[in-house]
Amino acid sequence: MAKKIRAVIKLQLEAGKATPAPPVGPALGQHGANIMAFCKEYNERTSTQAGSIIPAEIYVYEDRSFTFVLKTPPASDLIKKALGLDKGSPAQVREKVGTISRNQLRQIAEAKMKDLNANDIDAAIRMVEGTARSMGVEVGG
Amino acid sequence: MPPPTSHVADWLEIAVQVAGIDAEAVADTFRPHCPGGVAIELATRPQGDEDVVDGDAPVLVKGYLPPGADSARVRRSLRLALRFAPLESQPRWRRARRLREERWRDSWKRYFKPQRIGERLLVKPSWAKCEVKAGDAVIEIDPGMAFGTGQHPTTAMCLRALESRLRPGEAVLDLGAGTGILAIAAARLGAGRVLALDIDPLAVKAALENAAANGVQGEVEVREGTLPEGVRGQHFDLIVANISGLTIERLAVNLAGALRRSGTLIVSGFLEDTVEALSGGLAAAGLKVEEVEAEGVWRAITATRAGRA
Repeated sequence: MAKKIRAVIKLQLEAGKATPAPPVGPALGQHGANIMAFCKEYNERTSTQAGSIIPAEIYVYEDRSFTFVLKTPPASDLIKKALGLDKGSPAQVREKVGTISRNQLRQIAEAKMKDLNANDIDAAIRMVEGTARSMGVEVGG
Repeated sequence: MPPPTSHVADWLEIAVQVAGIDAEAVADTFRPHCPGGVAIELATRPQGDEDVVDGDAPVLVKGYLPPGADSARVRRSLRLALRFAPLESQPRWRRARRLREERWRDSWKRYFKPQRIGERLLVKPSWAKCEVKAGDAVIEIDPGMAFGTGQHPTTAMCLRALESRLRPGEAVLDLGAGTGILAIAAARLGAGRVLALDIDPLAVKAALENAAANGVQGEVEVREGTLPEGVRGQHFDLIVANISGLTIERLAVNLAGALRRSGTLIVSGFLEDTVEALSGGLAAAGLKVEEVEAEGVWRAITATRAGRA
């Protein structure tokens, strides 16, 4: 008989740098999961991807044990990396911060394909394109 | 008896219930406003005899604001931002919750129970009572904010390896000591002297407190630091390190250099995919891999340094 799930939590964390501080602490601690054990496993599994944001989808079971799967970095993170943009709040951006090529869009869409809710690569490219525009990034030819 | 607590400043959790399809967009809106990060809590439903994520059910998006943040202003900005976001359905705000740090920090401690490991080791939380048999080597741990309660497979594998390898009177180094559980176990198992190093000051504090609580502060020296400088030229019969695989690989030469001839190295904290590269790194540093142990996804390696006695 499969274990009963108590909670499913999605977090965006920096690879190799999970700590018991928020959001990990309260988000998992509320459900009784061992915070330090999660941090150790997350950091070990992402240790070779330092500098990227690697989302985790965490399943906490009724007995307080947990498992998690890692997702691909958010499109916004990949776009920033592709363009060499600084970190910072894209929410406030009103003016153009850079231009991304069709080719770069396609590469990001391919990397994200398995996590995107897209039927084919063209749909995935359109989703990444939407993210780019919302960040103030123009799409080049 | 409840775990001991000490009061620290309160974080605030703001939360909004949204349609599953809107979760990522709302989380992206929250992120720039929430210095403590954002969590998405998905709903599940039973399917057959297991639970699956329910993609159609509403989800909660939670944001964390540090003590002293102007939460009213943050919520006003977010309400405004969400009003203009292209969402499937109206988000419903939940009442904000004040999170007493010790509540979430310590909540899992209710599930930290006394545990027997190996032949004689008994690891128990400092606040629990349990029956002790003659010959038990008891280790009392209050984890604080450090790693190492004996419940984790990596800690358990290191404890069992320590028990089978350590001979009385030997000098032991615990690198990346965390709570100090392995250093304290070494002292309990008859080590002559034990040095516990950690680069995290919170771990150093926890290890010092745990060593004192176990009455082994005389045998166990705890310091902030790492290899190679941290040992100040000392050599050891046994080194145990439950840290990340990358760090072990990077420090392989230093680990070998701090071992006496025929000394033993016990390492854990890495997964199967690291074992091959790590074994190669240890061999290149002059160590002979003797045993690879597995528990769940985790692995531990025991290696020895060649040498004539």
